[in-house]
Amino acid sequence: MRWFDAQPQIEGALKSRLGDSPDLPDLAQEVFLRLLRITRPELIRDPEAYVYRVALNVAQEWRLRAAQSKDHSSDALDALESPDVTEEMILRRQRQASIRRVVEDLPAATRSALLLHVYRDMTYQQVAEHMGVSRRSVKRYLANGYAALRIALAAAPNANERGSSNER
Amino acid sequence: MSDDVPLEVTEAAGDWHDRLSANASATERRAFADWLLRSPVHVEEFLRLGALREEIKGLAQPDWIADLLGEANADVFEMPRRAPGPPFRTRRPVRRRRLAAAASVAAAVVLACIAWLAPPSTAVDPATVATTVGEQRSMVLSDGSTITLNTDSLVDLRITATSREVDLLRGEVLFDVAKDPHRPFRVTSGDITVESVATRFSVYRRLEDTLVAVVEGRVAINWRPASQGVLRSAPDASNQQSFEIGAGQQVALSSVAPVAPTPVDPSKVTAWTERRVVFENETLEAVVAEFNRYNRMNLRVGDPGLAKRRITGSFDVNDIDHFISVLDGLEPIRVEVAADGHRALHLRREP
Repeated sequence: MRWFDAQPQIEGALKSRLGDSPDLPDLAQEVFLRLLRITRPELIRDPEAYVYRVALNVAQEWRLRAAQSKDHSSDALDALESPDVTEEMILRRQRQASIRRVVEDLPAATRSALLLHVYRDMTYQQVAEHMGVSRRSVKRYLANGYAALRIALAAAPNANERGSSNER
Repeated sequence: MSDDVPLEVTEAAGDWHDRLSANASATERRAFADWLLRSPVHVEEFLRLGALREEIKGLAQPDWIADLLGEANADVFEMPRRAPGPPFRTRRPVRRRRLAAAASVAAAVVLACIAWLAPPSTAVDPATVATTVGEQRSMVLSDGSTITLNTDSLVDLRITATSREVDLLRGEVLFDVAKDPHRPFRVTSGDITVESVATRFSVYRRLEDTLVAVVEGRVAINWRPASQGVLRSAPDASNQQSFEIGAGQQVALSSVAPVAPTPVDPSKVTAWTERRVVFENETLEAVVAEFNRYNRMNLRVGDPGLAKRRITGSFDVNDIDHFISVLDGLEPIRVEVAADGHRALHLRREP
């Protein structure tokens, strides 16, 4: 999607919202089904953008459907009328604090690899050269780092989960 | 959420994010697709890592990061290590437990969805709606109108209290316009504007022209043909032309060709919404071009004798093999796959 490529800042914001979602497994399932319909996936020019485009479309469709059915649900109506911005901000800050804590507590090599990759935009190969280790090790460091973050964030309060449930 | 994602999956997802950031080869993209299609968990982990990366990136506290990387100064003390935190693989709360309490709440998810992607205090309508090749989407707008995007399409939306404007930038869209005499529904495709109050019509922005077809009601078309060449004599003041077409009519507007509405079967106009394409006595060349809009297989008619063969029929756009087998019943067809991934149709010569 060219449109998608052209708007990296929007892409980033939307991407991270995807991660917040308590519905990610359902969303992934739907994306998976849509991907199955593609007959020649190797002809997609930018597969990463494509996967996110499809995911964001699904999310957007769900959101619109949700908005349209608002008449039938006083809960949803409340949510539309009185978004509790303060609470959301506080939860967000807590989330950021737990990210920071997790990163600081990572083993040194894992932490360096994660920071170099994420904040210095180095590829795995560049991180490997910078740290003097193999790319394979970098892969493992990053996986450990991501796993630690995922676990911490799953335990951390999430703005989108309050009072709601996982069930669709 | 995924309770127990194996580390190998996380590792592979991270690896793909890294490898795809460079210009991936066709082989690599194929391998990536294979990996994704092996399990929804792979899709989930891939999406999650991207999101996670964005989220921690959003933290951007340069001092902190530089400190941690030991970059700030050569002589800073090493960061005092915190007391070792709890092991990473502590037991997480069992989310499934919540399912029990979930019965009443399809709506709660709904709420979650709203809270989650909606930027605070903006209209419900997205500013831009897009589909990729092979994808179709339908959505109801805040004014009650429905738009359905066909494959590889892109529109900008501006629905306000006083106007309803849609800019068709690429592809084909079917509009079901909710009645609102005070807010005309206006669709722009290049220099062409299609306006209506309550109707059902489609606008298809093609390479050379724009095709407007009306299923129900009437639309007004405003159109400014390019004043170029000898085809057009002295242009009038604005060179603007306006006319109306009604249900069962379509018109192709290009910069040079004269305007002549032709009759069209309304069911044919909307056939693609059921992922079908309908052909009435059209050349195989045109039929193949239409099929190619929906997938990246890129069929090509290799035999010139075949190109002008006339086809009538209704086909599932997803089922190319069925389409080829139907052709095969009409004429013996041979399908070749070229090195560039194109599939070429040839008349089979009997040995």
